[in-house]
Amino acid sequence: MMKFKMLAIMILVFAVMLSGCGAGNSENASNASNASNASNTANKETEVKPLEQVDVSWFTSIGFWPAPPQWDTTPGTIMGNITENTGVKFTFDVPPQDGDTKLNLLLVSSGDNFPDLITTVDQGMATKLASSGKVWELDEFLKKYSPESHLLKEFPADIKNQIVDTYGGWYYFPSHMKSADLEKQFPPSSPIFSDSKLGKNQGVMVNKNLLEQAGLTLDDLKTESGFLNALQKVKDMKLTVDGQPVVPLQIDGKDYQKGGALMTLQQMFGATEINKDGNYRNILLAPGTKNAIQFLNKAYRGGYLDAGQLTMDNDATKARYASGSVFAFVGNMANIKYDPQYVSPGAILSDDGSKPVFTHNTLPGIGWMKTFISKSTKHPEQLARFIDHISSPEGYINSFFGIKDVHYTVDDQGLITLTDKHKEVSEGDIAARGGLGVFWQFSNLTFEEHAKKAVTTEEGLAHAATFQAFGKTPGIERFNVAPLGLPSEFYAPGSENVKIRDQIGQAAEIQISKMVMAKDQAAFDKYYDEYVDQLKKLNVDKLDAALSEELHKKEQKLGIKANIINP
Amino acid sequence: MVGGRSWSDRIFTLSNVGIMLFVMLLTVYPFWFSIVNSLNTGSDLIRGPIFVWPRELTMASWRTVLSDPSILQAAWISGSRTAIVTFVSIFHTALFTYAFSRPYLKGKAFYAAVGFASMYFGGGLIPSFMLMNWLGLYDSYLVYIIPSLFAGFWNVIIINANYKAIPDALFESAKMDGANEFTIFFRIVIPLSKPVLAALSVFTAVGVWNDYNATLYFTQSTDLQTLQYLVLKLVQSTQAAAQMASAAGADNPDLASVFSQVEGRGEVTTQTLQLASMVIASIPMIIIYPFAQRYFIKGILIGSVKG
Amino acid sequence: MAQRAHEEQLSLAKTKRPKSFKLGYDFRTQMELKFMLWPAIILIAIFDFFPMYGLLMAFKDYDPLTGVKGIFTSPWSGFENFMVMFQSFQFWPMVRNTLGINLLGNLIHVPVVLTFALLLNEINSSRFKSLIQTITYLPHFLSWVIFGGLFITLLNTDGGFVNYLLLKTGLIDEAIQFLGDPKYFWGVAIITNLLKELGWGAILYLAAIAGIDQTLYEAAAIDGAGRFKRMLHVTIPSIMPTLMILIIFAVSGMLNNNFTQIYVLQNTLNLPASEVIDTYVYRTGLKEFQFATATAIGLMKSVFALLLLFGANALSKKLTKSGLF
Repeated sequence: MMKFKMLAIMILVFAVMLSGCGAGNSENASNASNASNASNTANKETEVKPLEQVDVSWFTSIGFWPAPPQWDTTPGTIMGNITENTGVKFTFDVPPQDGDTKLNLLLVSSGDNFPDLITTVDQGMATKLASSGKVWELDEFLKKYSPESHLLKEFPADIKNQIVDTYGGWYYFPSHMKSADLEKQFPPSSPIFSDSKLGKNQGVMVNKNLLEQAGLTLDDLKTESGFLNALQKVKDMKLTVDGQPVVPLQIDGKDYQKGGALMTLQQMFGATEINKDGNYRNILLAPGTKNAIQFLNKAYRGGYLDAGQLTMDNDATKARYASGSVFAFVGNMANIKYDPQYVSPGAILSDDGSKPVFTHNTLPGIGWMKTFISKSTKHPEQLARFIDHISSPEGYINSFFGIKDVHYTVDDQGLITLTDKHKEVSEGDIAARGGLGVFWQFSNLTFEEHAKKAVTTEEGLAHAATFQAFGKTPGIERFNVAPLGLPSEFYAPGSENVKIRDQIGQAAEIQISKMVMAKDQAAFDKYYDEYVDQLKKLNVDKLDAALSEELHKKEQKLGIKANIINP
Repeated sequence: MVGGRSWSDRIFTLSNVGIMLFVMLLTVYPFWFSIVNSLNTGSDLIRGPIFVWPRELTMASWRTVLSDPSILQAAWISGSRTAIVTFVSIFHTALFTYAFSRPYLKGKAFYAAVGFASMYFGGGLIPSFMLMNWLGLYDSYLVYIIPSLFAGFWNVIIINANYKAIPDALFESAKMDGANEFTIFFRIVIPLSKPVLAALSVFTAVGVWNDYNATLYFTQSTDLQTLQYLVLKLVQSTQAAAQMASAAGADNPDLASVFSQVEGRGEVTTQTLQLASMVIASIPMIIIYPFAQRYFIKGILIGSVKG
Repeated sequence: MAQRAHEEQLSLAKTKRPKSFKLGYDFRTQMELKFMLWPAIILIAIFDFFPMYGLLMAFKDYDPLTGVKGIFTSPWSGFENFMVMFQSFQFWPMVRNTLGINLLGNLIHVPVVLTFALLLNEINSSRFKSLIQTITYLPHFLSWVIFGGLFITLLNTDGGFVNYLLLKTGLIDEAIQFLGDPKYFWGVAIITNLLKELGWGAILYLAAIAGIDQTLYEAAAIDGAGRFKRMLHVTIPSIMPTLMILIIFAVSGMLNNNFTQIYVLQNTLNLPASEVIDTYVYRTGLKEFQFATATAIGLMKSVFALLLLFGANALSKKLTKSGLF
């Protein structure tokens, strides 16, 4: 069945390519698209009338999105294919900073300048757009302008329901789609991909060579005290790499509290937001968090972690790691450039017996980037065609994988492998990318796992092993974060909740660093007590009560109860 | 030069020169640092910044910036905008201040009040944005010119102080001669104010040259982008990406690949690009500066007007 | 150029003046003056005053979705928006840091830049002078992201150049945590700012010095005044008006900080000393989504700044007889 599907896709890809080539150029913005019957997208049974090529504006509020500087309508190129199939020619507006501020301004003025397509990542902004009445609800939009669209039938129901639940309607197209329903439609091409569900960015990485030199094995590092002893050993041995002294423990630098080392240790030491009664309790006050901070403090006191690390920026952290003189790295592994000589022991188990926690969400994510279609657009048909096209297999392959045999190859099972050229172009000079891999807004991860061949190179497998080591730790507990989902108004700007949350966050930031740098255990304990007092003074209990309420509501709705781990 | 060449004089001169050299070293170093880092390959830069001389010398980043199709347009926009605004606004403000400085001006308090209020109070971004829309200036080249035709009350105060130093007698005698205000302004005031007008021109020029806010909020087409806006795009890219990486998709491995796409690899990465573009964008102002400097290096002989 | 102006002035000076002449109060002159003033007044009216209706936002419960009309039709919220900032637990540290960095900064910045300008003025070779100026003015062009990033690297405890030097020369025993210890933050912020703006700030002083009548120096020299005496009795008094104006403005800008600089140098360890009003506004997303509160804070700052301005001006007039105008 799957093979047939792949074959069908391949044939269609060929068909599109051939017809695109044979049609001659479609430079003129007129019904010259007549000539290119590439407008026949795959799954249409009826004859589709070609659309006029129009200029469409696309606003993205994330400053670093690598928009193509010029839209290229040359047939046979990635962007050219998009234009041929949909009639759109994009002009991009990507403010390098304060994108959402500019978007707010455009919303206020709501003149002719309102962009046709809008992408934002901010939840608050998305809520505003959804409730502003200025963007199309996608079901309505597609029914009106592209009634044959595959999206009306095939857009994954679970994702759609989540979006409707959170925003009151299907107002946007989510990026990085991955869900159970989507998997039914596009099953993964290899079991290796299912393993990828066990991947996490947070983890521990240890230098293989230094490990050997110190006479240690990975097993020695699997417990808290074992790890600290190993660090002590490495420190005592005063090893060097290329003349540079070895750093026993490296964390993420000044961002260690934002998804870095702190989060890593919290997960490994089993901190969750659910207390023993099944109610919400801020993770900052969980015993696992205390252990995590204590661990860092012990590392500091032992001299394995120097204070300067808490002020280093990301570039400096990357540089340290890249020099190969780091023995162990704990933190967000995605922020540093992966080096195969580093392997992962999996989770460090807490000395007090707490089980490590693997967070996952049974509900699908509803998109990092959210793309809206504005009601004031003058070219709704072309836009409908566009979202239709780019979310369809051949449109997706064109935009994300590129041109056949140049950027990717297809093997005899119909599976796609990206070539080196693909990597070179998609990570190279922005102006020369030609749109390859740039349309993150429509990224469909499940489809990619379906269409691509799993990477079986030694390096690829080693990389996967490192990122999955934590998830595969024996005895690890799975924690479903679905019940913790909140309606977007809960943290509406200016609300009481968001004020408390921000204040607690700030106070905790400062106090945690103080605790990490405590000179001795007595000081640590004192700081911890101050920490708890401060948070309580800032109304953490009030916020917890409100969150508990939401938690129980959600549990009822989903029919599941939150896992209580390490009570 | 007056004064003898005594011992203390020599010591002073020597230490002065020494101090100047030291300060120059301190201030040139960050710029040097930026240049050498921009002339290095990006992939090598990951190993750590360069302090003295590139490890892997390459002109690749500079070439990329200079061959960017929008750079010529951006340079033109920045250049023309800076030249027009500097010249017109300084001249205009000098004229305004002349009138303001006249002791016989009726209603001076009114103008002072308006001036100070304009310096400290503003309606904020939303009303300004709406205004640009209503005036048809949004996304038009004129949005760079028209609102900036007056250089602001701060400059008025500085120029005013300078005007006060001009001896009253000059004005009185000119008036006797039947000169009108304009003549006095052009013939007496301007020639005697060259240092301060030159200095303020430099301030204004650099301010306009470096501004990216107007582009950010009041334009959207790529044709109107200024040079500093292009630089901002590159500088913010690395910062924002780093922040996002640690916050939003922190534990989502799938988003991680997105960030490596932003950074780029090989010879040219966003790191090297941001440094190269910053250096390149500063060069015009650095070259122009010595020309303006002439006006405030030497002193002026006002001449004796001893009655 | 200067020569011709000089001659013109001398010729004008020679004319005799009649006895009863009321200088400038005549209609014609007033009209000419008005003509010079009003174009700017109109520009100010359009671009500065007209948008001021936006200040109303500070007193209202405003949602940008309601558009411009919403500024007028939204419900009044009194001083609520102003209270937001006061309720932050960081309020006093924030204010203290903002004022502290600025006050201390100015106390150091003004004399140092002035001294630098004076010393620069004493350099004889104008070529060298020009070179010094061009070079010292370079850091002004670097963005704080880069400049700050460079200093973070240089001030690092582990391998940073500054600590390395201090340790090597034996001045300290242990590396100093310049960026990790709150007590150093103000110093780091002030000194890095000084380095960046030294050359730039000197420009205005140099321009003022350049406008000093050279004959005054000659006269002083004839009276036997040495280099320092001349500086003290001729240069400084002559540029006093400019100096006082710059000081007054510095005082009135007490509540504003260089946001990018502070933001780049901030981290969780030095936060108690590095959180200022501007970074607070940024952090809490005020700029993007709560225009009303941001406007309120901006309004508060403006009022204070204006009060400080007039206060400083009055003080300056009393002490040095020169003020803003």
